[in-house]
Amino acid sequence: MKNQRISTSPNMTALALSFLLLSCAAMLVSDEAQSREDSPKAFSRAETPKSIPDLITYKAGVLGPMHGGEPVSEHSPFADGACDFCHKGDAKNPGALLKPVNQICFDCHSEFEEMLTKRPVKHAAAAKQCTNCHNPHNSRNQHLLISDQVTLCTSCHTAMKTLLDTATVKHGALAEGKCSTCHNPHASAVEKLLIQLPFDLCIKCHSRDGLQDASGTRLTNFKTLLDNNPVWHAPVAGKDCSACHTPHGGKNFRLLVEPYPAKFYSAYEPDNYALCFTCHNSNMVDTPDTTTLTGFRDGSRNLHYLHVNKPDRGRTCRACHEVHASKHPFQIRDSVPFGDKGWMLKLNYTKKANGGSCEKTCHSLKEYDRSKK
Amino acid sequence: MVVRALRAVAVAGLLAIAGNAGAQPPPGTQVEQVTLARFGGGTARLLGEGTVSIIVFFRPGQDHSRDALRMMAQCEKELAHEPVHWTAVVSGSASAEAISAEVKDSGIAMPVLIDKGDLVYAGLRVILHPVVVITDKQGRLAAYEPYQRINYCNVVRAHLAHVLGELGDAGLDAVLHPPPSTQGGDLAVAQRNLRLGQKHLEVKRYPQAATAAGKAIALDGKLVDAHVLLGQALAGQGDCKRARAAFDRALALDKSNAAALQGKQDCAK
Repeated sequence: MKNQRISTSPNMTALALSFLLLSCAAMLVSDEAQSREDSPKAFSRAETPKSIPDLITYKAGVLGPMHGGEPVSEHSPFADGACDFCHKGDAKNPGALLKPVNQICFDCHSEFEEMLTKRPVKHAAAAKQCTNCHNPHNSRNQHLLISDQVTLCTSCHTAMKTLLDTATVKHGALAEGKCSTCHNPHASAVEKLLIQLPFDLCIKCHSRDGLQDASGTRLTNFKTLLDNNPVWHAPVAGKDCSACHTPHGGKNFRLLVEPYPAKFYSAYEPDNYALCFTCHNSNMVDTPDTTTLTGFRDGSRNLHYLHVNKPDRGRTCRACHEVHASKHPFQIRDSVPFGDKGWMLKLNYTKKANGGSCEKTCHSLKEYDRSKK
Repeated sequence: MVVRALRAVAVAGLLAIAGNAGAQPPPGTQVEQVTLARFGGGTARLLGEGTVSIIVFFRPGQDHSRDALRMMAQCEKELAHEPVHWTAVVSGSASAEAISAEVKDSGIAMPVLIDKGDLVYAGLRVILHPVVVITDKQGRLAAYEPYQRINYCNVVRAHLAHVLGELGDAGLDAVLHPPPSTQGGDLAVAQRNLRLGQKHLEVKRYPQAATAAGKAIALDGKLVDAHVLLGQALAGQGDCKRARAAFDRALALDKSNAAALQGKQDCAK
């Protein structure tokens, strides 16, 4: 679909034509972007619309002043009757804009000009025209937005709308919050217009005691967890929670990007471990003998294979590893649940120069030595 | 200690390397030059000669690797003018068809080296995919960056600039831990009100100018120009008593402020 290009002049003679031509901002996306709605991935790099609306046309309540109702937000110059700050003509009959929209806005809102100039990641809609999202007069929404934030954002980011509509597991932040909780809608130093790196954003909420998911299950206080456990999983150390969790919504427990066994024991099926295999090589648990695929081996006997690759009671990754952080090397757990009484059984892992050992745990002392011939 | 032994590519050497599997080698570790089979034919070296090297380890058929290769393809183009030796390394167990598909999809121009027996992998202890390894001009390990969905190329670019001496430690840290990209906060809004008030003043809308100046001062009491604006707006309305007080507050912050001095002088007339 071709973008609509119409003068933003609020001259009343132009209004009739403008009304006809305006459908809504949601339509101002390319067919290419629309087709991505079918994308199976919850967090796809290709979700950014390629086509950005150039101009949203003038319309009462959209870009023109509201007709009726109480505005939630009002632009100071409009409230002051200072139409001449933006328009030719007088206040009773304002004419065409004095200059391109953003140049007018930046006369007062110069911080956004600086932002859009200096920050490497820019929102194309904002760079093109502030009025793609803001009504310069008044609005029924905060910050002079032309519609509520989620509706506005998803009018172009249609794949995101589909995701939010269809996700069986939704991020509480979206249920309660706004897109701008995590994204700067103008410009950012971080890709995806994130205000900070994913970890720094996530930890803002997930560092509280008492945070619960939709089912009422208490969620981990990650600040406490990470402060007390110095060995961090690589994505955590890389401040990239999104390596494993989709930030908006999805179909897996805990918003995981791929399935991961929820239990201690599981028959080994590679698909169950898809999450771990997004980074770790599945050959690590498919290969009985190796000297390269893992350090957890006795000579060439692959102990990951031994523990995990079983047709019935294979130990899942969580049986031995913490997924976020641990006190022990390789994020090995301090203890594991035993029985149904809430007992915790110590793993008693000891790292050694060429291997390590576990003792008085699921089994008696067992050592491994990579240098064994 | 790590890939040094690969030069020989002898069975005894390989076993010695494999025996060191475990945590990643620390920065500064010497990565030794090695020549590997190149996908598509011929051979190529892992490291550049006297140049910084960027080595991209990937696994065909894996989403993160695909995403990383796409990002690195773009990165490779953006850094084309830099003296960098780019290589991608893939396990010798990967099929030619799968490698070909990933190379074609990503558009990377760098040579893809086949790591038969996963010796380079084992030497650098690469157990995750993808990973980008950066070495300095002497082949010493400078950075080991596992996949990051966000800002991966920025991180690689920053490490490169750091290794080349174009970016200091603080600059590198600012990229690895960027400060919040906020909307500007109270100070920005104060400035905005100041500029709005100045526009009102230009067209002699003194009450509106005074209101805007008041808002600016409420958000940033140290904004000298806002105190001056308030003084000018009040003076414009004939309220020289309050205008002088505003000019005095401006001068308390900046005793040589010309506009405030002029405003006081005009009020004295």
